[in-house]
Amino acid sequence: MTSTFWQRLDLLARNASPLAFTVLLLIVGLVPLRLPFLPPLGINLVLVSVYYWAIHRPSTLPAPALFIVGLAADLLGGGFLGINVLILLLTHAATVSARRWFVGASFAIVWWGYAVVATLAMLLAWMITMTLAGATADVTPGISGVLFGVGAYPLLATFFAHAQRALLR
Amino acid sequence: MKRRTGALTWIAAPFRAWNQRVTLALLGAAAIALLAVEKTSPMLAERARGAAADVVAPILDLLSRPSASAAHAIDSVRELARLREENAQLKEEQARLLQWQTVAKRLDHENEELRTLLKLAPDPRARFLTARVVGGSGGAFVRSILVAAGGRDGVRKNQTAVTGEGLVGRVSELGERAARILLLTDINSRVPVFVERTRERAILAGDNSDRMRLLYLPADITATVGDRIVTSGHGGVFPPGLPVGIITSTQGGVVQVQPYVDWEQLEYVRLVDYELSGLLLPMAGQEQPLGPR
Repeated sequence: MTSTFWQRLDLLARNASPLAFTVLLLIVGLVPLRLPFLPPLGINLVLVSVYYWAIHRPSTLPAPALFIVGLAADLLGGGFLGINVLILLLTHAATVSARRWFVGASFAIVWWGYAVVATLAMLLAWMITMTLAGATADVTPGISGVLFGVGAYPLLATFFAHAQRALLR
Repeated sequence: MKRRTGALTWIAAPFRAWNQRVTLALLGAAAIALLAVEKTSPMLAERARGAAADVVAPILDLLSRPSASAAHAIDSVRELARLREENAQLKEEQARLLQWQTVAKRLDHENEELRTLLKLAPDPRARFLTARVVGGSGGAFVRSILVAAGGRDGVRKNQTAVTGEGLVGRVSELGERAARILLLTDINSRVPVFVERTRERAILAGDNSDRMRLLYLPADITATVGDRIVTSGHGGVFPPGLPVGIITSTQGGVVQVQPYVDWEQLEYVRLVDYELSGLLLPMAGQEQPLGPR
């Protein structure tokens, strides 16, 4: 009885690790790093996590959890409420539905897929922001943010792959 | 036993898939509803963000300290490389500034004497509060920062945020322990300014890039590249005369302004209470101040 309880708790903690990584990356994106030439990170690192787990373990990031992460990103980032919620939900849903092309595909293809997904997400955020603010916004910071996320993808994906092998089996 | 579990999965699997789809649709609708709330009642969204900032400011404060030390270390290495050059530059600048100091002292004295002659009502005194920047911009299309000072420290909404270099922005959201400052470069930022030399009035608008634009300039402007832009004080949110930036281009009728403040290096900002009544339209339900009859 006790052992099954601990086993269950253990399983729960292991299954929650992708969500924990996602939240951690959200906080990293919010801290002012003050490094030269660093674009505003925003949601880009979170997006890497959401994309990776949507391909490799889609059930570990359920929609309600993504909703809460997105809402936290909106509340803490100072942007319009709902933008990041929508982006995370759509990214996850779209990636899961395109999963069969990515599972077993070469790393380059999955990486390229991320670049496409991140670009679409950024363009969506850009358009919603302009619609709500009623003004034109410069898209350059968005592009540099996406490029940073694409650049960080191999590093984060390698880390996630190790974590997946160690924690989720 | 095994067969029973199999049967259960067979029944449960489609139901679970359907359930997940419905949840996703509902949550997506909720996200769109949030966007609608933002558009129709921004005050509500603002209060929610203020409360969230309160919760997370202490955590970010803690986390931003090591990153600040790292940034300092990088800076000092960079500075070491060009110490000699910078020293010469500073000496030259100091000589120039000493000259200006003499001029400023003389003008200050003269100004005071003229004021007494004119019996001019004194400007309200300003109160300062320095706050640490604990949160950077939360996205590619938002230009704002979070500071670790809030309502309980005496911060009020619409207070002016400055650094030694110039205007940073204004307090847009307020919590008890934290406040969010809307930077000049945000697309929602509008600041009444004028060109210092020519006194031409305009509205300074951010567009999310590092430069800002001047809107509503008169058609026959005489301002040129290199002119200083300062706040005009119209609207009563910002006091007049705060340095904002310089004009970097005037091509094709679009006047671009580069801010004095270096956004990457913001570590502390000064929140200044100029005790301006604030002529921004009061929100519905708030009392309207009585104007002169």
